[in-house]
Amino acid sequence: MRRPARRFVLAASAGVVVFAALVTSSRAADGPDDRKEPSVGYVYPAGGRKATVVQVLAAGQNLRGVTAASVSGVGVSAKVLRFMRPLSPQQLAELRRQLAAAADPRARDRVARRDAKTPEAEVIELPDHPMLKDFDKKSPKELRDVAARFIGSAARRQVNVQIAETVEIEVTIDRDAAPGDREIRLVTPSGLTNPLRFQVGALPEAMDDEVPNPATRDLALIDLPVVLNGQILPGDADRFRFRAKRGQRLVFDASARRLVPFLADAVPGWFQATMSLYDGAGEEIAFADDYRFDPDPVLFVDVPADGEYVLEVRDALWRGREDFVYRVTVSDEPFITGMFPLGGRAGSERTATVLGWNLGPSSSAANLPLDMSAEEGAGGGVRWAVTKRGGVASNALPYAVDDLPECDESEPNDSAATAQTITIPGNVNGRIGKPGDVDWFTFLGLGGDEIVVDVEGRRLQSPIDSLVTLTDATGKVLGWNDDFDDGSGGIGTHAADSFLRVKLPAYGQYRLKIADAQAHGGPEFGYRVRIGLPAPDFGVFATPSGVRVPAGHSVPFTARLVRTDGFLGEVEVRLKDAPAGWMLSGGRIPAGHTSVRMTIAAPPDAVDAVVPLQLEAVALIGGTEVHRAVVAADERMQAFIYKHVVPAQEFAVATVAARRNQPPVVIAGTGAVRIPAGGAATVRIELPGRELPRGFDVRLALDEGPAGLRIEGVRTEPSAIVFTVRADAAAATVGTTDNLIVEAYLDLVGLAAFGAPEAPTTPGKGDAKKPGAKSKAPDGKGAAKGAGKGDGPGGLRRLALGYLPAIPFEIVAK
Amino acid sequence: MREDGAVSEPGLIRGITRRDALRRIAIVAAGVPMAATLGRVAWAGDAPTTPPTAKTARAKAVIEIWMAGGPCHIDTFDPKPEAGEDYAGPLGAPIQTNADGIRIGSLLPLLAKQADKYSIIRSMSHGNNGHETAAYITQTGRNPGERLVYPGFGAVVSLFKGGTNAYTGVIPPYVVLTAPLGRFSESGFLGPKYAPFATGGDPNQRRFAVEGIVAEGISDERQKDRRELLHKLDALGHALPKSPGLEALDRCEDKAYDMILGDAGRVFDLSEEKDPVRDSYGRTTFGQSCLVARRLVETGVPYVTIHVGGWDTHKQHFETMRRRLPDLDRGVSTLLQDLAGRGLLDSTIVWCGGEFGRTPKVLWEAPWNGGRGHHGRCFSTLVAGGGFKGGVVVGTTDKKGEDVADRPVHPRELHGAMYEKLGIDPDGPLPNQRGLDVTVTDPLEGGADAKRLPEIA
Repeated sequence: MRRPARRFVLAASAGVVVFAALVTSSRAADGPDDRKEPSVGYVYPAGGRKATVVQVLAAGQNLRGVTAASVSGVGVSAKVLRFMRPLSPQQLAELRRQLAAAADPRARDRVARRDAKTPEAEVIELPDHPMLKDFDKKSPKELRDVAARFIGSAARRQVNVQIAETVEIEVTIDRDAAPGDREIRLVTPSGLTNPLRFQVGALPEAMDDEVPNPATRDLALIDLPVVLNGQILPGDADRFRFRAKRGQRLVFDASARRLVPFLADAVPGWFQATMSLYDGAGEEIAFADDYRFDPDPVLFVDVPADGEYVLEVRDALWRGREDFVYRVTVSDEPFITGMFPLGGRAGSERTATVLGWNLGPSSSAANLPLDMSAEEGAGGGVRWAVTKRGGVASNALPYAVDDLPECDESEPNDSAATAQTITIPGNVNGRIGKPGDVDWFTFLGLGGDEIVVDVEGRRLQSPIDSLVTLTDATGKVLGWNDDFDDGSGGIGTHAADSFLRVKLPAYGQYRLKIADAQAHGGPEFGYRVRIGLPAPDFGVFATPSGVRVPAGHSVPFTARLVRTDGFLGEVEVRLKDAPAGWMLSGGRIPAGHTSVRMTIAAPPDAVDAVVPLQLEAVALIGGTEVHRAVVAADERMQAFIYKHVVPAQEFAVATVAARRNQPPVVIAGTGAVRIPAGGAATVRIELPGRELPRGFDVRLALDEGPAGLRIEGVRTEPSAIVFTVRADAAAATVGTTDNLIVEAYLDLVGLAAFGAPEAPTTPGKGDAKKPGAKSKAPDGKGAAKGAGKGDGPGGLRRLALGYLPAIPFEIVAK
Repeated sequence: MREDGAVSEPGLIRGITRRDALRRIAIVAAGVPMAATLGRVAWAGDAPTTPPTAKTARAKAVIEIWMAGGPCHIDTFDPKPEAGEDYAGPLGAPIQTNADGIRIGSLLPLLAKQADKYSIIRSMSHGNNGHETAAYITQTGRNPGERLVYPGFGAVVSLFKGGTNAYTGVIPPYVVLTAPLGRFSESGFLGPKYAPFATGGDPNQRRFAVEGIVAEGISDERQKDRRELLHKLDALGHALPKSPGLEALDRCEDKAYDMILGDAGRVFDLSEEKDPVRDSYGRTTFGQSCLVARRLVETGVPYVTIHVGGWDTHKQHFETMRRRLPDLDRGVSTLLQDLAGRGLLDSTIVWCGGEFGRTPKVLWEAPWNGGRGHHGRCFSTLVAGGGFKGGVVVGTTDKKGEDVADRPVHPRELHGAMYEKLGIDPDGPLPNQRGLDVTVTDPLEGGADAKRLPEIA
């Protein structure tokens, strides 16, 4: 049986998500420059309690005209209330004056006198928003909220364009919405934003008061358990006061990075939250910066005495910005810190010992039966374990399910002489039980066999930083490894697990040594190690995780293939269970490739909606057809330089209805276009149901074209476009197989010559009235894809019409 | 009394505490700029000062225009309009220079007319994208991670040319306009003696307040009064018997006041220049710094760095280019013209660049919104004067400006070529007080026979 895929673990918590479509109420307007991709930087608060309605603020850029907010999973819906641009410097100054006046009667008089003298023309108007009027009727807290919301870090002259626009959203969480992490996105005329975490919880929620430097006695007393929400601005430290009883075992679990994993323009490239706990006397009794390898801290506190305590949250370097949003769960609910074993064989019975806090009668350890069922759909190679106490669920920890024989480590095996005998292929569950512990295993191997040693620890959230060494019977080292990045993505920045691939020289005994590279150890330092012949496998990410596709149009995305255990073959990406009319073109990832751009096309009769699409990747491995679900992901940058592929929960597609329902564009012919190196090939695009006017000057451009290829000789027929692709003999390599991603556009100078009025300043609007434009773009909305790439070198303005379906090609010898 | 305890007696001491004022006088007297002299007299076992065998030396001075932060090579000296707008951005088509076949960025029209005077190395490369490390590599020619922290090119030139060699002026031999470069140690293991003298102040102000030499709002009379006040307060000096150390301090003080009150300090007085000249350099800090640099070189100062920052444009890149490139254009082109007009270009090397280039593919997405990141794989440096040929392009980058296509040039090769023009043997020993056996610069990969920048040398 094919080993189930297990590497591409989403960083989310447990819970399979079934997506609910969200229908917008208004038609998308024609969009701006296609470079102005909408994006969101944060949502605040980043979660809420079941059976509540939460007012959420999202902030980002290029959000003008936002029509909807979509939330993944069932039971949570969102409504866009209002979009706001950032205040201008003059408006900010005016707001500050008015807030000062509201707070201080003398200032109010000064402002009134000044206003009386100011000529009409110079009065600065604040935007129409309930928070920006009637300051004299607002309470001090409300005034503080206004300052926090509209002035925020602008007070310190940090203007961050990428989080300057705000959208107010009302999120309704049903009573029976499953707790866990959701994803929230905004839908705008120019696209779908990246997703952001939105957490659904079962506990009461509280928000930080935004009082700058409050005295402890002025902090509101909060009841436990609770989820605290806050936002750290520069130099900010949020404080929360609560009462606790002696003997309570409190766990403070912070989500900061979990909400916004990477910041491109910050160093460290994320909000590095710290937590301190102070007792009634103001003494710090606990502090945490990280939780083992995770930069989001967890505090474990055995409450020493009845009394009041204060929790302080801030950034480790006292930085701050509006996107430094956090949630802290404070409770004495069960919290798992470790588990053993970290997995088992499919179909077997397996009970793990879990370690942690508040787990039950013995409080720190419990037994947890693991679901090892081998049925189809029982979950992939990694599943999630949750323990419950009194109906309350703990955090979830991952565990692996595999189909090889298993055994557990048995001490003592701390030396080569006392190495534990194991048989391969198989998985061993082991543990570096204390600092300096070393685990030795010995097995019989066949000469000539190339074997793989794959340690899974960090990928299953164990703190172990494995170091593996393989020796022969004489102790000669055949290979060793500390860190190995298998490309499975995620938000971890230390690929701490080890991997070895070694050809065994002869039949005989071999020894494997596993240690922790940092000489740490403890009961949580579990690992699994797979030893056996290579099991070639693969996984596919699709980036970005959200695309906007006008009806009948194609839009490109990138499929990133991760090959494991030496898999070199071809993979095909396909739609899975898609509604009728969807098309994926160019889905073939050739042998040896790891990244291919392909396109997805929406049906011509698609409506305005956000549709979840499932993609799967299929390959032939060892004669068997292997299917793997494609994981939607987004490429994020960390600290100016590092790039990560961060998995999302689903591949979300925002479809935009067409004014006219036209059959999709078709690439004539089957198979890849064969382009001779030094020569050219002709491609024909059929446009059924359309009639192009004579001399219609559509242009085509290769988007991120492969080296040595260019498009020339574009001509139109009444219902077709024909063009030639030329491969430069010197620059193009014979044997290159890939997809052509071609964008069609109009040269607006040409359009003017064709009789159009002045090149429209709002692209698309003037266009839609011209008969010529309609043919290629079924509605002016094709133009909405993006216009005006700006003045190129020749001062031309382009009107983008959309992409053609991906065209597979191969460069052949002439 | 101000809130911070400062004294606000108008006219005498403005906005500084009394303690500060005395400290400043003491520093001037001790001659921070004269630390070099102080050190040289006090230490025994001085470094050998006879320069190693020099090849034909043409240059006597160097003006370095350090574009801190890393300027984009594509927008300046290595344009790539054919790569499309995602690379070239919206700055417009590059312009032909007056050198055959060479074109530069559209925002440098004045430099385009001076292309016969300078050459462009388009294939500079060291592969590092960190400011500090890349600045270290570009300024020292060495790779990081070794046991030693090597001195920068300016410190080495001042070691050979300043002090007991050709240059004996009162102004320190290594001057930076106007703040120290900050990302690395200019003097490395040579020690603070060879650190540059940072003028501070702003040459575009009415009075260019040079640290320790020209004080804002203090007339020469007041300077003299201060000196007298200091002498009156120098109880220690009066109580102790004369010693070589104290005598050395006295000589420092004399030299320092020479600079302040004598002719030497007038090099910083830009009111000596006519307005049209000042205008032609540009009435900006950078433009006027270029003018100060010319004046310093005229008086014989061997090494001047003009530190012009703000090129680290991750965000607002094109807006910043539109603001800064015209300023750079005017300053550098006028400097070259002026040096040439005064017959100084042949004896003055001018080199202009930063620690790396910037990513050719524009980062349109959030949070950059049209920015460029760091790019150490290839970048451009401009070299002029000192006997170097003009109107030549050394090396090429690929179509998108992402990698060197031909003839990679490591900073050590540029340094080596400049050393040769200055009559310093790049393969000879680098004198130092630590007894270290090091050469002036690292050899090229080709070994002893490899020629340094033969295209323009």
